[in-house]
Amino acid sequence: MNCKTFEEQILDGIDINKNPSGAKTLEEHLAQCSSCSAFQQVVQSGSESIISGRRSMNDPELFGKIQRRMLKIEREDSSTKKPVVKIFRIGAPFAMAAASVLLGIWLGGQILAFTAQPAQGTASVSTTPELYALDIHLNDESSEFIESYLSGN
Amino acid sequence: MTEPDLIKGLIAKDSEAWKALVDQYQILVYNVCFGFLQNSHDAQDLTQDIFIEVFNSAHKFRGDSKLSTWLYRISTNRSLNFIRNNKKWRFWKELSSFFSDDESDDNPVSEEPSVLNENMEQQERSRFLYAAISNLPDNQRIAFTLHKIEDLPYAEIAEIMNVTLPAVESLMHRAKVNLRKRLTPLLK
Ligand SMILES: [Zn+2]
Repeated sequence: MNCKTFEEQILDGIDINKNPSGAKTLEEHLAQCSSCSAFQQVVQSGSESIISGRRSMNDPELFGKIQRRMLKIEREDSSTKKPVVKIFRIGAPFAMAAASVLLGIWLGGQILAFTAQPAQGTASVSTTPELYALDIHLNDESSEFIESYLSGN
Repeated sequence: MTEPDLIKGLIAKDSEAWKALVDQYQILVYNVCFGFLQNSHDAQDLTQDIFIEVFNSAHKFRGDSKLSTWLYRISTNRSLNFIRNNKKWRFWKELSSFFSDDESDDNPVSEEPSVLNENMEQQERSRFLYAAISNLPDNQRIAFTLHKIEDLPYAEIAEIMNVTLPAVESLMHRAKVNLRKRLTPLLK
């Protein structure tokens, strides 16, 4: 066996109880190979260092700490949500006002578009306002006004 | 409390069940976090976060595996995420601990400089293995850590990682090859 195989065995943490002959061969090799011996020391001290901070006993305070942390997170969440609510409350009337203005501009534009088309056929004159009234949900008075206006032209 | 009762209680957001879960599994969660992070403060913080996540997502637990398998999976994923998100911070922390003389408090003042150097060298060498494990690809790192540090059998690791048994064997083999490649040049 070469050093590579022994190094893999060291990383495997060869179990003496499971493989006594393998363990003996490794031991003999380590006694005469400084490179594998150094490798074994690094793996052993490294493993000890990695597991040295492991716990074997419960922290009795942990559940309380978790509950406090959860409360803190909930409080932080609710405090970060508040400005959003305020913005929404202020923002809603503004949004409605802006929507009304835009609707007004759009309606005005559409009426002007109709007046800019004086030479339309009778069929289109009778159908377009109906579709229009349906499309933007105008009330009866408005649609009657538009119809009379168009037929007058 | 039996496992099915515990799961039912967690889904129902019962605080007694949650406390029982924390009592029963805090060592498992903490040790997995510590195995990956090698820092007790970070491991404690992350343990708390993991239990909060478990409490909030208990309804997602399908019950087709053991509760411990689910906790191993969450703890492993969260630990690796923590490392990824804190890479820069960890770099500076490692660097400052390397240059700080906090460690010298553990050594008696009367020790000869050669003994101090030897101790420092030993401490440094004992970090080689962790540094080499940290540089493994994630899947190899998970398999190696769960098997060698958590002492879990391949079958359980396969379930935690949601891969087949031969896949775990292959990951373990590649992890050992890579560790050997990374460690041997450091010893020359
Ligand atoms: Zn050798």
